[in-house]
Amino acid sequence: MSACPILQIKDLHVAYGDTEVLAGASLDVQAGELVGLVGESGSGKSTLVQGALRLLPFPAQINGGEVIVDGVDLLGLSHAELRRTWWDKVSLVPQNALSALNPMLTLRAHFDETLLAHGITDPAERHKRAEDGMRMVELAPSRLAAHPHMLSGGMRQRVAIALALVLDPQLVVFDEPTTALDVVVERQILDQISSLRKERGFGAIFITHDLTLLQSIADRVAVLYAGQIVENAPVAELGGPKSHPYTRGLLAALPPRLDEDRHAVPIPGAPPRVGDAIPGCRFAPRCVEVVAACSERPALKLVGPGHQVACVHALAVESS
Amino acid sequence: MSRPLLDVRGLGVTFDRGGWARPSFLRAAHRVSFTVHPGEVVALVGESGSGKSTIGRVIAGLQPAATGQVLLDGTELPTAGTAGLPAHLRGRVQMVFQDPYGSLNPVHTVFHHIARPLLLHKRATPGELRQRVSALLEQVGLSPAEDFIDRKPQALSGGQRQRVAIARALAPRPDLLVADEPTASLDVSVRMSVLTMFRKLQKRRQLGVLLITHDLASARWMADRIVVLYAGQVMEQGPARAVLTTPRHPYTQLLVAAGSRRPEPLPGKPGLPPVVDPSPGCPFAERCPRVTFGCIDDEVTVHVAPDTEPPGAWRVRCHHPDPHLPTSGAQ
Repeated sequence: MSACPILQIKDLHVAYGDTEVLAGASLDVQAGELVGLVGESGSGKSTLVQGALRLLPFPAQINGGEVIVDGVDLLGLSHAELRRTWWDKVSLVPQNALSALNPMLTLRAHFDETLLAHGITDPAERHKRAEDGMRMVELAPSRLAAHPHMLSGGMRQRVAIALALVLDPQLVVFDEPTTALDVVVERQILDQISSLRKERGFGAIFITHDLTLLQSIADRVAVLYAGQIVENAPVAELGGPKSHPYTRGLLAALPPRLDEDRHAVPIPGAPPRVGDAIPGCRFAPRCVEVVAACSERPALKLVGPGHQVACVHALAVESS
Repeated sequence: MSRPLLDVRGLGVTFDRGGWARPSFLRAAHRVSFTVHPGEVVALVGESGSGKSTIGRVIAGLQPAATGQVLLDGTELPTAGTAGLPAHLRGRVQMVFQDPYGSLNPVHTVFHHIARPLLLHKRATPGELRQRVSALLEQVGLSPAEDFIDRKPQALSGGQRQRVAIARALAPRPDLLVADEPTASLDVSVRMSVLTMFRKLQKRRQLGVLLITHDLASARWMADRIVVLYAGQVMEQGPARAVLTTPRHPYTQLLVAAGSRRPEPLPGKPGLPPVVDPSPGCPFAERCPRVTFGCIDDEVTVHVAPDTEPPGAWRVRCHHPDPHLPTSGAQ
């Protein structure tokens, strides 16, 4: 692992009014690495990245932490400085491309707007970069004249990816980019992301609630539960003996994939709601391995190379 | 084999898209035939736009059909003209909707939601109502029932709401349940527990279930048989595990490959189902790796796998099924 991460989120706290939704989360992304962020609805996965990128609207407030991109703390930037950082250094591919694209504008206008805002004043240059962007995601440049509603869901998502990459950022955040898509289209988009990553080498955070999807594309996975990162592991270690009971439970609770043969075991209960006060380990009320010590909240411990788990059962190893 | 509980024969649904000089229409379902036997779970799978929800809505009487018949236990359901089942049939077919945040009324309590069908279908007298509602809640795993019965939907989690919706659908003691993506809007960690509960109840009550889903993994886990739809047509149907292990239709093969997360390239091209003013040929032709000239022009025949029990249980609508199968006379 290289020494200099392209993104460092340190102990980020986010609250909506008095309700704390993210209780101190830390996450690093190395250059060229794809980090998966998995969690159920309300676990805080979108809050974590949108908070880190300063994209959360009022009443969300950031109550502490640091977000270092390129040696600069994003949390300390003015709005004008942020505008220069977005798209250029970090960009976001949203879940619902239809609502992210402006229905009144052609695709070309979307590219133009972004490029112009980042100082590319030569129309011929913008034209060329927009066409290159479309080719990059295997869409015909002639479609630049189309409006968003004229495209299928998969094509819109490709346009959103092309827009996110048009200024060649070091980091791209994919916020559930395939959740609204069918299996075949989902697979095509994932293949597209993989080949673009090989070609351009950007680092990425990929948010999803589908752990099995991450097993096929991520280098590392952070698991969020009720506003806390409970595990941060190299993808091969997920679900292994050192893994968090929630991660193991989640993998066991999924219906077996078509190429698997096993029985599914549901996790009892339901995830706590945002704002529910739970003393101690937040997963304890649903955990089959719960013991008395779980009444105290466990911190993330290093249990192997690049592998952290927040559980009383986790055996810490010396950091190397 | 016994008489099927649900027998769908040649069902067709079209939506008029207007147009005066060149009227245009959208074909949501075309010559769809399949059966559901008592105590059987049949999964209706397909991508969005495949017509799976439309077919479910026709069966539940929420949507009129253009052609074809729907028979419930040998009685033909009225599907043409105005939608809606006659009162004596309404309780026999019930539906569970995808989104429990939309299908429960926020101003009514759990008790009200389940008591209403019990009273309407005369399954309980007012005196025993509360006790019957409690019993249903316990059956769907909302236990102790007293903790839930007087709550309103907003005080319940998504999984709990869907359990209430299932209890409501079970209240009139239906023979057939149409479940339209019942777990798609639930959290991953609670999906399986809802499905497990549902499967247990279904077995105990010998309920026929038409499970509408796009998730092949849960279809394989829940269903006895599977019906694969594309552009409103049945591409392949047969025993769920066998079809999903060794699919014979190129479209099913594409779906299975996309869902398996193996790194090989997908066997098929991207595209949208041709449902607007469709041509007579195979709807999958333009995406199919095995396409020939005949696929585009000729109506597709149905092939029957010879090695399935009972005979004819596995059917493939394709010009070039894999491996080659004898042609069936039936559609």
